[in-house]
Amino acid sequence: MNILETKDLTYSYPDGTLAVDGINIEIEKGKKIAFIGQNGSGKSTLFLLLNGTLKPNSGEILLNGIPFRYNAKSLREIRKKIGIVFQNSDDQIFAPTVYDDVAFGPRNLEFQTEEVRNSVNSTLGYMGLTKFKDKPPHYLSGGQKKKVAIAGVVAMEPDVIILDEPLSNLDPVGADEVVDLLNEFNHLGKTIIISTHDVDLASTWADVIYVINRGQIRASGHPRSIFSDRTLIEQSKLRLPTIVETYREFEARGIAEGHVPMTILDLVDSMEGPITDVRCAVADCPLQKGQKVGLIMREGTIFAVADIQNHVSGRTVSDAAPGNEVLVEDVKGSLISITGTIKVLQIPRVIEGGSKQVNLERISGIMSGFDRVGAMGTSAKVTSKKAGIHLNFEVDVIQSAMLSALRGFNCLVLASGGMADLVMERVSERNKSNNRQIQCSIEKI
Amino acid sequence: MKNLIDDYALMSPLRYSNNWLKLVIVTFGLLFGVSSTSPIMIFMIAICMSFATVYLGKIPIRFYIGLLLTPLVFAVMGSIVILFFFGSGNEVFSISILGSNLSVNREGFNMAVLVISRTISGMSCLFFLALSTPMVELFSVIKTSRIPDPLIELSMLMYRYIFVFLDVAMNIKYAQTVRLGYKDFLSSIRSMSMLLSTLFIRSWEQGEKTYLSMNSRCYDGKLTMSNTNRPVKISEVILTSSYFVFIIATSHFINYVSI
Repeated sequence: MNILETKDLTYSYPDGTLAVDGINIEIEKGKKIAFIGQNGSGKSTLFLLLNGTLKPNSGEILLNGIPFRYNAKSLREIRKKIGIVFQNSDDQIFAPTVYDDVAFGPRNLEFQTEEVRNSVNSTLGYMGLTKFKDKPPHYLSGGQKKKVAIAGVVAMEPDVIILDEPLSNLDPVGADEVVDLLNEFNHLGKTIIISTHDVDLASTWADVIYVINRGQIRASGHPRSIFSDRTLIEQSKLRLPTIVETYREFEARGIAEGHVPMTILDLVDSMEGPITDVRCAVADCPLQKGQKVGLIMREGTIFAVADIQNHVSGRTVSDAAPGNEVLVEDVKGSLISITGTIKVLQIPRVIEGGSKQVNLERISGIMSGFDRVGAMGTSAKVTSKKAGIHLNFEVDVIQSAMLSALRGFNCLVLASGGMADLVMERVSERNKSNNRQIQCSIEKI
Repeated sequence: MKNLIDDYALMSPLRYSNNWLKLVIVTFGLLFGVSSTSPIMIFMIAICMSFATVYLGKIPIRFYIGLLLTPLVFAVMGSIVILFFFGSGNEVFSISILGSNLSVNREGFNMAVLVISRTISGMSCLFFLALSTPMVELFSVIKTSRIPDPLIELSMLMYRYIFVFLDVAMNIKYAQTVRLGYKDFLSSIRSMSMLLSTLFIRSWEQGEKTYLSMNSRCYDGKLTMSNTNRPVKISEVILTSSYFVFIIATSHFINYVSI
């Protein structure tokens, strides 16, 4: 089912600039969509059209199969279903306090006072903004302002959330948090559409990418198919994601092979086959040049030990004191033979009671025996904070856990509600395409 | 940005007390200050209000004293004039400067002390309100008075965007300064006029953008404010009424004694 669809959409500004030139898109419900293109390629104009703010010169937009109509009542319905977050948060946040700004949308939808309060409070709580409730927006940092802007739209409970350059001007942590929130909303069934010129974000995050250039859609499809096409990327004045560039270089040197990778995990998997015969290791004991050594993996680091029984073996290139790095050549055998496991703990979602429902002592009990811990989703993060658990990964959790498992760590992932199933899904998806299997189990708490 | 009165008001615990109660306390203080003729009582008001601001409102004392000093300087200068040139009655003391004799009378002296005490108590009352009631709280008070809605909405938007444009203006000023825009008087005038015109255009554009973003959230021409419901606590009622009773009773007592 296509939630949003356009047919030959064309729009030119009053001064004659053709900003959108015959665009046809079909957006499926519940997908993550990224529009990529250089500045001035027509992304923002397209978004204003999709929200009913601008009226196309020709062509039409269909929401759930019904064409847009531009009278006040229909527009209201459209804007209720399709929320838009602008690039500059200051354009959007206008009320004197955070609470009033988030309440603006719900009030316009004529929710009852009680409903407004509930929806605003739960949205703020969900996004971790409750402590800023009564503050004027100019007290907030860029990332917090962006979150308030998103909250203002989310509080209206739209089906589609459109974000224009959601990560511009954010610091890395702020950006990670926003991406995490978007994933969470997506998991709750919302369709998310973003525009960006950050190809690294688009390639790892999106389900479907539209490449837009001079008001036209140049290509659309899965990130892998888009970024495999070097000519397309060059013509659209974009660049390849760092991962793809790296892979191309490795491929040319015969180190990696297979699919074009989109994530670090893909890249690692593409390098599994050939093992280079030179490795860097940390000396476990005093070693002499030319000595035969065994290599073992301990806590994610390769150690060179004097004992060569039952280990991958090699010969040192230089002398080394314990703790120093040493180069080992003529390495024989596969180093990473043990794969760690992933265990998922399902934490109730915020609306189901969140961290209050969780027996913290029990979690601390389960903790032992795991080398790495991660948390995804608001309630899971709150729970881990309450239990005093140090988190090794908070963003991009699924990938980080799989990477750690491939290095031999046992990982515990606290996940809110349905996100736990998502972890299982992603792991089994990866296991299908690779022969090194990661064991994954789930437990409700 | 750091030293705006509004910033302190936002952090003050008194922010969450009932705004009308605060208004009543301040009105009482002001009325008492202008009607009483006893400097001791008026000083008492000043001390009580300052105590409430600094202790209950958790305002840094250095900042508070700094605030009070400004009006005090003016009051002292005014009262020096009053001291020497006003009133009649017994001569308290006199000094001679350049052969002319300047004398201070009992009445002039009293008048000068009264002026200073009224200034301080009046200012401490107003600062109590200003340092415990940020703009955002004031909006909800104004809303219950019968000021037309468009005016309140405009002032809300103005309040919000003052800070945005303050930032813009500071950034432009900085960008001009690093390129020697303020190296002499003439270039300062030119740079400043450029800054102002840019700011005007920016605010125009900002208006358009804000309208657009409000529209996309189903704006229908009215801004509703949240009704901040701040119930008056029993402890606050007791404290306030005992303050009133104390002030009134002592002032009667002093009157009685002086008669």
